[in-house]
Amino acid sequence: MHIVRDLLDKQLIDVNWQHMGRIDGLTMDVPPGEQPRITTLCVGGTVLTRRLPGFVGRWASALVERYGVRRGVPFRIPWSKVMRVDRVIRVDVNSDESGAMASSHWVRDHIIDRIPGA
Amino acid sequence: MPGEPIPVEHLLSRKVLDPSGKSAGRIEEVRATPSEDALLVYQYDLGPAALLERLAVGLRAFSLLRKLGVGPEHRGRCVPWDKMDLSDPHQPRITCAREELHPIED
Amino acid sequence: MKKLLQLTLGIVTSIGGFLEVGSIASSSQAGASFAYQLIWPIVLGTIVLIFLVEMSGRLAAVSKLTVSGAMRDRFGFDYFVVPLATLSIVIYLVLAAEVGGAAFALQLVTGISYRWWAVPVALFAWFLLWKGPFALVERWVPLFGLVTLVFIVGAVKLGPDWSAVAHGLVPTRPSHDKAHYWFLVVNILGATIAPYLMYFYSSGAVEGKWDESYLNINRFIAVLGMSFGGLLAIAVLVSSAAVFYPAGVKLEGYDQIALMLTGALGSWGFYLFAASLFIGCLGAILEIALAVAYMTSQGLGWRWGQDEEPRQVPRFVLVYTALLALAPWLIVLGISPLAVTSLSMALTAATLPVAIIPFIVLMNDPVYAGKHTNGWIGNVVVVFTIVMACILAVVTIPLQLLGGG
Repeated sequence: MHIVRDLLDKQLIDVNWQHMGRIDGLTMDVPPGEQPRITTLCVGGTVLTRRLPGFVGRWASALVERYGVRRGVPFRIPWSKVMRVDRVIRVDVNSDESGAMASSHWVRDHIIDRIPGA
Repeated sequence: MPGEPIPVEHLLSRKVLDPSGKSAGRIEEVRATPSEDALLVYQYDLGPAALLERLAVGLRAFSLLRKLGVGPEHRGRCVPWDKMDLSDPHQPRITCAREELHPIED
Repeated sequence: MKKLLQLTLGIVTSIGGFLEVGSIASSSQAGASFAYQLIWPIVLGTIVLIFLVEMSGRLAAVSKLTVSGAMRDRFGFDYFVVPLATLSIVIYLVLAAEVGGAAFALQLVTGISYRWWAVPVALFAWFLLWKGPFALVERWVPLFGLVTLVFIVGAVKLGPDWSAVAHGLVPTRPSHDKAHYWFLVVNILGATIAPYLMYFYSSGAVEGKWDESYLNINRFIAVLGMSFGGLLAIAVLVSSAAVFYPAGVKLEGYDQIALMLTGALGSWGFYLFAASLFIGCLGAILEIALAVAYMTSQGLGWRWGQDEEPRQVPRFVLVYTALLALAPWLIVLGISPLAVTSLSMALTAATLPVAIIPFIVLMNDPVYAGKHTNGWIGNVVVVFTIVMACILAVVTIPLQLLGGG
């Protein structure tokens, strides 16, 4: 498997076939002397903002940490939860219940629901 | 700090140096074997300019340019996991000379 | 039959692309200043759009991905953030211009200053998106958009010199005022080849659940839809040329442009012009707001869809809401709508390469285009467009300064 070609930036869908963000980053453990292991998929938080260059990245990350719903902490999915790798990556997670959709739910509760006629 | 988990996306496009300080290319791809609870990394693909590569239709575009006598001098090379030193993730190094690396086979 | 109805997607894309304020303004100015000499950029823009729109539809049908989704997928966030950021800024200006155009149409009819209409227009557009399904934009806009056929009726009634019109289909040397000539060429191309059309069209295709069986109808829609728009833009130019060129009028405001149909159609012409301007701009507003919401949501992996309940797709809704909330203020502040329009077209032309270069890669990559990668004609057109876009990007700002109306 090619990490960049097949996993990074690809769309994630949850156990109910709903969109739940993209793989914004992956975490790799490098135990000394052993083969490196990629264990976790990361979504949201400051994972994306840290990929931006220079002060733009630092400034954007600071904003997310200050005002983000999860204070910049990304949602992590262990590799063991990955069900299928295809054009989209299906994971054994219920995105609405697990906190993966925290900012989406926040927008829904604080903005969408406040608009008349919602 | 060695031993801390590394965000893989930060390795992309990083220049890799060999022991004599020469550039061996930039990390373009990481290959891994999936297992039950992790992906085991076995190889890093290096290339001349990662963003340009991702934009172009792959190394073939550059190999065509090389055949014509123009184009970047670093070809696509692969680094087996045990030759990559990530103790400083901001400056990845290979533990062998860059000439010892094999070209990427697809 | 259902597939044939998708023709409306093509028509609405076309209206939002061709009959919006930028096209009306630049085509009118072109006709007034250079008679029929500048028909060829409209033709060129139409041909390029036919190919780009067909490719967007093909990409959506084969990969089930939209253009922006495929861009993030294939090139990663590190590249994607560039078109996302630049397009968002440019598109805000285009949106402000369209709000100005629709507001002006209302001024023509009611006499109340366009500055008062800007906020109601944005609110109305938002309400249509909030309450309406995708079919509202896809079916009703083209239906009302048929009022724009009045431009063709008007153009024919004015009895222009048809051989001169035919000559205008080919590029000729400008007889005078070279800088202004090329400024208008850039404006016409920038008004016509708008990247947001591709994001909108491919998202519409995915909302319509297209698959490979739609490939033929997609070609048909692209050709017919864009040709419809191009023909209308030419009609605007011809009318303007017949009415304003002989009198040597220099068009400086929309109120002058509005008179173009009164010669042929009397006072009806005036009101029909206003109606056409309104529906063209409204269509563009809806398309642009949706295009940005699509691009952001698809690129960041959020849930999206105009056919979904707003509660299901909160961040998607937030994007178009925020955009429409910000849109009217440049106009309310009294900045000249024509100036905003001109600047927005110039910047669209300047940022075209960023949006189009990924296209040639995507449409040749079997992972995304399957067995239906570009043929050599398609690739030639895209490469030509990229080269043209790069040239436009370089010359557009100097021309704006040198040749601006």
